Amino acid sequence: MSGRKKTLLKVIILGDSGVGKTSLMQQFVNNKFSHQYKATIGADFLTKEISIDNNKQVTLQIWDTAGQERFQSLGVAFYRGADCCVLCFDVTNEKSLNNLSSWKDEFLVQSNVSNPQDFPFIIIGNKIDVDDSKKIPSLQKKLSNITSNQLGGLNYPVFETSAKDAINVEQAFEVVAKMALQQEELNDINGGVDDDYNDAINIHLESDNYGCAC
Amino acid sequence: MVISTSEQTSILQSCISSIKNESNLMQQSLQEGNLLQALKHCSNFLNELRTSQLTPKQYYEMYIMVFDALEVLSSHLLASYKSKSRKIGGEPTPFLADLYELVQYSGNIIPRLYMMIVIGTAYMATKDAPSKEIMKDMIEMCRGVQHPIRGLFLRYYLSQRTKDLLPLDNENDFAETVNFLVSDFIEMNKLWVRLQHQGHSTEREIRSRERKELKILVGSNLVRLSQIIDDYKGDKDFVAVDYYKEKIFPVITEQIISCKDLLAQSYLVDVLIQIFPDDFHFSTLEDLLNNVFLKLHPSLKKSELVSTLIERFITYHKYESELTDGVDKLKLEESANQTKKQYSKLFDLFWDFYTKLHASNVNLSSEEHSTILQSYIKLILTFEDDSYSDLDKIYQFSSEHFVSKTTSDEEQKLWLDLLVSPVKHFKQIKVLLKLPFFHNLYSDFAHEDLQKKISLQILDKVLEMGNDDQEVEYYSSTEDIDVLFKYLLVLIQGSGSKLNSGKDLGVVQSLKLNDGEVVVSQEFLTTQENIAKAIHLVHNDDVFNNIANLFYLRKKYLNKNHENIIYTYPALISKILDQLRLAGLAWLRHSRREPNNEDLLITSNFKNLSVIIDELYQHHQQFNSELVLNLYLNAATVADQLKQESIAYELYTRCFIVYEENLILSSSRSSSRHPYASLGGSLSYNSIIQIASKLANSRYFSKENYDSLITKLTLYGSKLLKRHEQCRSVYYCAHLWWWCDLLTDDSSPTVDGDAANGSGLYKDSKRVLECMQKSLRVADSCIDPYLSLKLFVEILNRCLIFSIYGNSLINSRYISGLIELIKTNLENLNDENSGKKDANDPERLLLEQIQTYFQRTLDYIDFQRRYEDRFQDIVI
Repeated sequence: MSGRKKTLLKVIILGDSGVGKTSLMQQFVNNKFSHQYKATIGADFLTKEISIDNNKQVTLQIWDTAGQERFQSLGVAFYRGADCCVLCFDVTNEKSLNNLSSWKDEFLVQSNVSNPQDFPFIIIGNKIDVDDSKKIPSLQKKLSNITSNQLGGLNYPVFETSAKDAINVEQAFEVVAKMALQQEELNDINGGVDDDYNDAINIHLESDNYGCAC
Repeated sequence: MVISTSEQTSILQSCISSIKNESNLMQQSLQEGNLLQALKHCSNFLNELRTSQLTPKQYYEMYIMVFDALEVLSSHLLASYKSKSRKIGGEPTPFLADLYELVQYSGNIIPRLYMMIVIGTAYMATKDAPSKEIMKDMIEMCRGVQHPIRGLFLRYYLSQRTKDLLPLDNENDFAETVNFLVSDFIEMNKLWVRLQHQGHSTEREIRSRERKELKILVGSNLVRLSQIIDDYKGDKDFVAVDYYKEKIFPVITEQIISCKDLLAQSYLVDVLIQIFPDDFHFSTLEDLLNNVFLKLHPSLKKSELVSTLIERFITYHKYESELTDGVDKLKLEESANQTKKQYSKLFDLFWDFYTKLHASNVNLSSEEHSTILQSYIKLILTFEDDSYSDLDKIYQFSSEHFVSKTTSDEEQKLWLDLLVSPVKHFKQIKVLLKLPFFHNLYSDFAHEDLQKKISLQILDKVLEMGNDDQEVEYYSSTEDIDVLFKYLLVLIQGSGSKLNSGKDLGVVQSLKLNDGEVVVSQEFLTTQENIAKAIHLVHNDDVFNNIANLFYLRKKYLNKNHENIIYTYPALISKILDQLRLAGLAWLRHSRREPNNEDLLITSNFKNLSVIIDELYQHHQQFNSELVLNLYLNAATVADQLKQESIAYELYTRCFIVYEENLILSSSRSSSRHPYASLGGSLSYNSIIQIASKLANSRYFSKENYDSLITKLTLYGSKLLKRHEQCRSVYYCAHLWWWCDLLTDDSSPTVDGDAANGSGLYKDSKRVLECMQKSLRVADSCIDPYLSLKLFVEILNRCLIFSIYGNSLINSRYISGLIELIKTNLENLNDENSGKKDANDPERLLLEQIQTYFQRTLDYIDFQRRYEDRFQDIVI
């Protein structure tokens, strides 16, 4: 029973308020889309099992986060242990595109990942179903400016999706899963030592004295 | 017991490493198949959650780690269950139920309850599990933890673990699930509120900070409620909105109101608004406003809640209109009607709430009032583009209740945006400006600066129209002019010279106005420029009507500050002149020149126009005569073209007056210009040239009048201070006696009856010769021989022109004589310079230049002789 190790991959979705993070996750996990906007409070995850590559089963634990800071009052401890981070913007909202790099920076600062240079991110531009007239003017150019600029550091795969019409969502998350898996395997090689044995010296046999038990 | 931050950090570190360690051990035990040992390790790391020494954020860090570790346990339990169940042919096994009982014996309550939840929820995930009983049991047990932070996290864990397992299969299940979530919410809220009152009163700040961090936990159950209402499919007759309205909204809001806690109320109402869909809010709006908002803590800022709610409706509306974008027209109209209905009800409800709030709470700050009303204005602007009556309602209320009651700047500033944001919003603003209470409110602003701010916005907006396919609004009647310019009056009257030097440092300009030198800011100049632009928006297709409107504009508004008319009158005058020209040309074309009413109208309008220019002259003659001269000249030119001879004559006379009174001695501008250069020169010289060039194009004076004008002008020229300027203006004026082109289809009255003149052109060769002679005499009298020589060559060039255009008195003999004269002078000067060896000697260089100029003239004569058969008799 213990022979086959089940792989759990942790994915964090970040981006400005209203770009459709929850919708993307809902579309991918439950194939649902709601026209109603509901703000996300705190952070919550959904899981989905998928098979990638040669039928390898993985469980994606996808964390949807609050885009509005006032609904993230407990901080972002859940970034820890992430295997991949999805940066979302809204193709009709230029500000959300320009904020991507600050979301990335925030993630790297808070998540404390061991290899910030190589940590896998992907970029998703959501809402491509809306009318072209409402989209960011010369989006492709701006996008390639942002992603090809080595200094800006956002040279990651880009997907343009519609959570509403289920366009490209599946494909994007498949790439997310592959990248996350790679990252996870890398962590097993490097980080495993760090996690398992370094603390072994510092054994807390019985807990220290605590006050009240309730 | 207060713990320092560094102590807290080290406690956290040790907790974290203990959790890491124990969870690794737990995993090892699981792999070895030793479940009891694993549970022991699990209980060990769960013990870390018993601490009360950490901040909520730190506790959350631990919680996340614990959560991850428990997930491993949970998936292991489920896998074991499945394999055990497989062994007995797929029947349920009591494995998890037994385990659930077993962990009850764990010593400490925190580890016990977490383990219970892990196992309980794993159990719930199996087939035929008594989910509802387990849920009831778990939530009951959670009551055992009354420490706020620990209790909140425990309940949060319960909520996270159960979220996918909530029974929703039928009406009964759904009701129980709702109950479960609502009661969990109520308990969490109680814990959260109670935290405020724990510990010493000096720690109040800390408590309050901790509570703010914890707030998202309390919201989680509401989020869940909103989700399950979406997910519930067990009942065909289920209407989500109604269910919310009847079953959820009253319970939750009751809890929010009764907790009487400021932080809880403001946060939870915010969450309520954010996480339930818009149509839920539409249906409960009346209750929400009147029965909830009004009953909340008196010092809670209702304005924030109102604006969150309104923002929500606005986003909804934008989204809706995007959705309908692609839909066909019929549907669009239908939805527009629906929005209209929806909106009018919406606004009424909000307005009703506001009046109640105003009546019930006398101490509400002005800031609150203005923020609420600003939100209302946003609502109006988003939903309905033409509901001006609602806007006016708001203006009336704020004018009567607030703005007129105070004269304090700070207080009044709060209300500014009420006027400004609609100005920015609308594509057309005439209707807005016409609202009676818009102006009332505007007038209530006691301080000029505040009025100015609004006025500037209006001015900017008015000028902005016409860009980006916005339609320009014209002002076509005196009423219309009042609509706009009563708001601009404050800018028209504003003085530019009262400056706060500290504030405007570096952005000032020094200008010469009539009272001497004044310093004005660039901003002031831009404003005046924009007012001038706005004058061009006064427009009416009926030209005479339009002219009357422009005169009205001047009389009622523009002349209110004489200092500033210098900025706006030129635009006004040009605009009137432009309209007069249109009127006159139309009249000339249609009326066959019979004097009639229109003719008289044109004449009287010219007189009025002249009065305006006069006014400008009276106040600004000292430093701006040149500008006034230009305006007179333009008017005179148009008057001449329209055959208004007496007017044109009068206007030229005014030009002469301006010249005599202010320009004659004015050598201020360009006086440093080198006398050898034929361009530039003093202001007086330039004025003469300018008048001459306009007069040269006049064709409708009688001979007598024309003669008198040009003679006078030439006389001015001959009396200029500097010789070279005298000389040049006289040879230029010579052209006034020698027309080369009629410039018009009609015959000119100036040459009428002059039978000797077959060409119809005014020509007087004798006077031309006189002028040339006079020029020569003046040139000769120059003491500087180089200047004198230069002028001779210039005169030679003039003579060539007159000769080409057929003046028989300027003949070959005359020209040959002139050439001879120049040559002689040139030789003399060459002799004088022959001793100089320095190639850069200024006199030598000058002479070379003149020589080149002369040579070019001779080459020209030669060219004309060879190719045009002219100047055959000239001796070079």
